[in-house]
Amino acid sequence: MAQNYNIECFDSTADGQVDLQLMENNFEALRSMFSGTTEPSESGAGQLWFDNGTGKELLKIRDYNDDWIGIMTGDITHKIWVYSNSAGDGWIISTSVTDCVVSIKGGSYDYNKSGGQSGGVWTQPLHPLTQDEIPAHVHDSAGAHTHYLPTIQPPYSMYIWYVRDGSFGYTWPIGYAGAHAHPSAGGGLEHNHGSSTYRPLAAVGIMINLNI
Amino acid sequence: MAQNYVIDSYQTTAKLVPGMQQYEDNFECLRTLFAGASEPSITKVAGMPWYDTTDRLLKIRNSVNDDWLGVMHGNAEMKIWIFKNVANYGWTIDDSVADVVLAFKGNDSTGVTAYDTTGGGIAGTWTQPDHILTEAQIPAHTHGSAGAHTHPFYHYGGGAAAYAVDPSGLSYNWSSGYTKAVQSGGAHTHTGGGSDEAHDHGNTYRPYASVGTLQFLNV
Repeated sequence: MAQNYNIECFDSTADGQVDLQLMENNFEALRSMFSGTTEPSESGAGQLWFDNGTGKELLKIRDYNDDWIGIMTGDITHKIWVYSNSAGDGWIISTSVTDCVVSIKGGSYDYNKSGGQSGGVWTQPLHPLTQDEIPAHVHDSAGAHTHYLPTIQPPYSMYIWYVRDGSFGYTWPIGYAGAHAHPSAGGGLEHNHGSSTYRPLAAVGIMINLNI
Repeated sequence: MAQNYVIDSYQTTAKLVPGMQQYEDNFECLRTLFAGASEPSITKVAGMPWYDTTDRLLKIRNSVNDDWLGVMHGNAEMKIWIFKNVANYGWTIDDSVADVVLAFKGNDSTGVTAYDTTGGGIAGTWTQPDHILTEAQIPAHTHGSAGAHTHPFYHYGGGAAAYAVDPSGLSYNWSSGYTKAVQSGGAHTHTGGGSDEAHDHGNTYRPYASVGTLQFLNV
């Protein structure tokens, strides 16, 4: 760690050895990105500071407004979603995660697991419809229909005459009924496939931010 | 590229010329962030940069000085999702992608699902697929009674031979010698249909999404 940077490292009136030592100190400050647990005593826009404080390990850069902003770092376990089909220089595509959406861990269902895993399924839960969930509907009549009645009319003991379709013959007499339909059934209520418990197949991760 | 950094570049006993050359070398190392195909051989310190020309990646020495961290970098082609409504300085919002979820591409050579496509595009739909219920998937149900009803039939009451006549509708004039018999029918219902089978909407549906890839730094 080195933060003892001296902006005025050259003084025309100073002893040369003094200036050279200051320059060496400056080199070390630059090489370590002003590494330290507290911010450098002097800073300007664009200056780097590797914050080595507890739980930090964060490279920062001084912005135009004299604030520190974090520079994102990562390793091979720190995977992110990119809206691209190819990896730029320095990046590698992980082909182990495919054909799923992105989710954040938590809750009580399929996303309730450690980040870095898959959760959920693509098939929505099965759902048997109830009668109330089908639309109200009727079944159209099968049309006019007849009921043949076994009767015996005198003077014949075995047969009766009938007239149907313009001709006479022997057969059962018929009862005639007009077309009719039965009452409507179905409640027309909405239905879903799993209420609030369903989760689509997803890469489950966490929401994080730089620890500025 | 330069990695020939000399930590102890100033020595009171050194001659000026070699000392100043080391200064020059150090400046060049710092200017190029110690760029090189392998890590710098000098003693490393936490926070020290190294632009790895093999991995094409800027790396930073970690806080305990035992490994390198990758510095995330990108260009206009590398778009990522941020949980925020505005862009920080140095970032630009791409308004062309809206009202979608984020998804990872599948195998773009198979085309089995909508996500089997090239990353960096939109795929899927918000409309779930149609599903035509089979008879077995409709719930068992009945339609109640059509109510008590009658089936009238007609026969001729006179003459030697009685015979039944199809009246061909209610307008038939059966009063001249015809009488009407009535067959009463009780209320009845039809057999219930359906078997209560559960149904879903398949597993190939994919919601409307911006399709990308999962990437990590090649540290």
